[in-house]
Amino acid sequence: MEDDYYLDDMEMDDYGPDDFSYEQLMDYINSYEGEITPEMLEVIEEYKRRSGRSEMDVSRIAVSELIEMCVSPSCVQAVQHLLPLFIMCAVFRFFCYLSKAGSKDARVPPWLVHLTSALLGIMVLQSFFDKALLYIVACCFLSFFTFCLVCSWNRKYCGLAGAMVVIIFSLSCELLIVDPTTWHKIRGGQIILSMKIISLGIDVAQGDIADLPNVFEFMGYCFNVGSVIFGPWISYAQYYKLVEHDDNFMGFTWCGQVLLTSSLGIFCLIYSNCITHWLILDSSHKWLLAYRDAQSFRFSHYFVSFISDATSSLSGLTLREGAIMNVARPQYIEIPRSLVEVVTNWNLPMHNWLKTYVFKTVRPYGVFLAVLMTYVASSLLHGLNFQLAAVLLSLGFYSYTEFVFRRRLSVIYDACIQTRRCKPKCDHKYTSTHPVVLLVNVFFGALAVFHLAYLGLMFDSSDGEEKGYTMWHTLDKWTGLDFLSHWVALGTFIVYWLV
Amino acid sequence: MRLVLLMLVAWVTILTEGAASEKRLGVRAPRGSKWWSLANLGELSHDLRAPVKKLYNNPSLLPLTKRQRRLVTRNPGTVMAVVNGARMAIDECKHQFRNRRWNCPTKFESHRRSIFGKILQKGCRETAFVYSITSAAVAYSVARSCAEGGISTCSCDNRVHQRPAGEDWEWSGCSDNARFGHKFSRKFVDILEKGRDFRYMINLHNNEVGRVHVTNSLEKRCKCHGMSGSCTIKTCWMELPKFRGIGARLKDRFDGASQVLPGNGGMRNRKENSVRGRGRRRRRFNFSPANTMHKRPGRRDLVYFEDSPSFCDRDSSLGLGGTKGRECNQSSLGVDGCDLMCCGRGFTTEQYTVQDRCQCIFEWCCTVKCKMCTFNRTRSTCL
Repeated sequence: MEDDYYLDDMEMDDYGPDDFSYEQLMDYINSYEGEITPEMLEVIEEYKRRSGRSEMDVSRIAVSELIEMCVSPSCVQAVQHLLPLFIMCAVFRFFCYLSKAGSKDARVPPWLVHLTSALLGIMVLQSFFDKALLYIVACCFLSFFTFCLVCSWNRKYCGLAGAMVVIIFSLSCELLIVDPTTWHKIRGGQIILSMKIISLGIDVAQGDIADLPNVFEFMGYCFNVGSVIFGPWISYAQYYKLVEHDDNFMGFTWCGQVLLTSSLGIFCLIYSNCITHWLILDSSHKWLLAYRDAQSFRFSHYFVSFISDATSSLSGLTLREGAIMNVARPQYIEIPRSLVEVVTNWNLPMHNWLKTYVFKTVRPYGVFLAVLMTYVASSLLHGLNFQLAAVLLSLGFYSYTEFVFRRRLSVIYDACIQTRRCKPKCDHKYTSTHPVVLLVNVFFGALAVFHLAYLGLMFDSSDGEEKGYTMWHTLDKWTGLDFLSHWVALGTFIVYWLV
Repeated sequence: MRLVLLMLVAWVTILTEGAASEKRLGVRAPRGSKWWSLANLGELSHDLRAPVKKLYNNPSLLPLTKRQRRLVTRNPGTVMAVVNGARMAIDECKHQFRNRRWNCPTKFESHRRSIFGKILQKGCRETAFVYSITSAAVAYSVARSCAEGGISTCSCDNRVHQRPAGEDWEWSGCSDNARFGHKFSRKFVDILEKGRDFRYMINLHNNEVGRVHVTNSLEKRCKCHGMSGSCTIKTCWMELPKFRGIGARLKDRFDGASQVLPGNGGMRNRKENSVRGRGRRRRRFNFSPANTMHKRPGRRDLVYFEDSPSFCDRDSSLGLGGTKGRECNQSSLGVDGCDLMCCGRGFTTEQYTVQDRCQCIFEWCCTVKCKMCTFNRTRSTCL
């Protein structure tokens, strides 16, 4: 076949039938004099139908095609995005190692190590966020000056001041300064930064850290290359330990760990992008579709968690000794025992942060206030977004209901059916191995899966994704499922109340 | 007296021009249609008691021209794809037009006749749709067959075209499958339009419209990844829509097809653009719309030059059955409604009963038990 095929032959005007709206069409029809042909009738019909148009026959595409069209582009892009981050992490680790290699006199001064950490972090931020990194850098400096000011006055108010500055900064950025797309892009990094600053402030206020860190230490901590983009949140003590006492460079277990977690991450990415939509087709039942979209969102979260795990271990952090999954534990989320378990395992560092710095700080003022503040804090961290707030609030209500209901049931029947697993030797009459107990636990697990599908389905990567979803998107989705999960939760609560 | 003379001259000119244009549009049986009967290959071979495999392996038995046969022989595996394509085209045409007066009737008599009937001798919207959907179906089917590895000559060379990731990401996958489908369809389908008249240009244009809708139908989908639903990194991939989607788009184009004037415009342009022989033959015709207020038809717009017949009555010269006896929807105001479907002739409504399974119960485990119920249904048919 001779090559008479030219790509420019296929470039054409981008005129599509969507170029004008239904109203415009109707205006045209009303002012149109002459016979209305069947074709025009059909055009009108087509416009009417367009909103709810999804009636297509669907079938699964071949695996080879799936690999070619979805799996390989996803992988290539992920690697392209992540390679600079991984290289910077490795460079930082190597620098840390070198800084301690020489004899005691000829060592690299600590401030240079902190500065390296900060600079590498800023380079990574630049490669991910481009110019928008300025907001994150500005937030960091603003809070540092606040700390300096407040500390010189009264150390006790450091925590409060830091929290106030960070929250006001985030809210004003979101509402006034930054356009939604950019804000949505840097939000992840901003959340991590906020958590670091607040925790540092509280640590300083409570005296867990002896002195306020100097500017290099502070920047090194805030922009630490291993946790600046995807997290995880690390405490200042963890960071300090990494810089000061790193001595396991030559052990190669961390190498295997990085490889394992990053390949798990890539698998989760592929599963989220390609496989969920391949397994469950668009023509399925609406609850199955909800499960699919929610699962796709969850796997996207696992991808981020695994990558954050990989970068933190590559840059030399050890979050927990001998554990592989330090950020999220998918096995407890995909096959949950209860919603409480899901919430805990969703993001372990964040869970720890909320427990240590919000719940325990507010605890003296009352348990209810502490629980409330925990939810308020996590909502504020995530920004003023109706969808996230609604999900978090629902999740709070659901897990509370589940917790008290199952506790009461467990007391009444003296069985191991609480939200948390019983200890190996518990004094319940019916232990976890009893068939009925097993069945009840499976039932509550299935209920949790149902709730998760309902809560997660709005993160469906539709048009609003880049700017953050709107309130109407959320309500639309939930109306489509008749708010069933909310009713079920309410029913559970009423049963609990009556029992 | 002068006035009369002038009018006479004018009349004569009009007459001769009319005759000339008629000659140019000379009604001839469309040549490019024989291969469509490949859609019936399965049934055909059954009648002849010849194994299907043999037919596929021996293209000389197929209803193809010499050049098509050569093309098919050089690219083993494409026959099956073309057969599938022809079937897909017919199914899609019938689906898209199931509610209209012209419901894409097909008849298989022999290889001589076009499977879509004599409507192809006209130059109306329906003709345009038939040409575009068949050409699109071949391109689509061949591309899919490539992707599934059914055709050996379209292997994807793994040149990696790396482009910057992120916002301006472009697909760098194996687009050669779509290319091959496009190219093959152009070779295979367009070969038959060899005339030099206006109809030839219209058909070529409409064929190209069909293929363009296939090649440009890859859809980019993206997904954000980041902490708690933020958009730290975005990954994109491609999705190939189903042929139903392409059929629906072509149907959109059918509804908005533009009528063009049989003039010199396209012809002249063709001469300028096409350099015969080896190398590029760019068929970019320049049709002028019949209504000067409309914009020129683009490369995605179907074109036609004759008004469609009403399709109301039986017309044996075009092989049309009319809408007598067609079922219509009494409550609809659209084209499937009885008013439009029956062309105002009226309709009869009859009640009939059907028996069907109902009140099905799932019994543990694992049987489904149903009752037989009788339903009353109504059916309207055109007089």
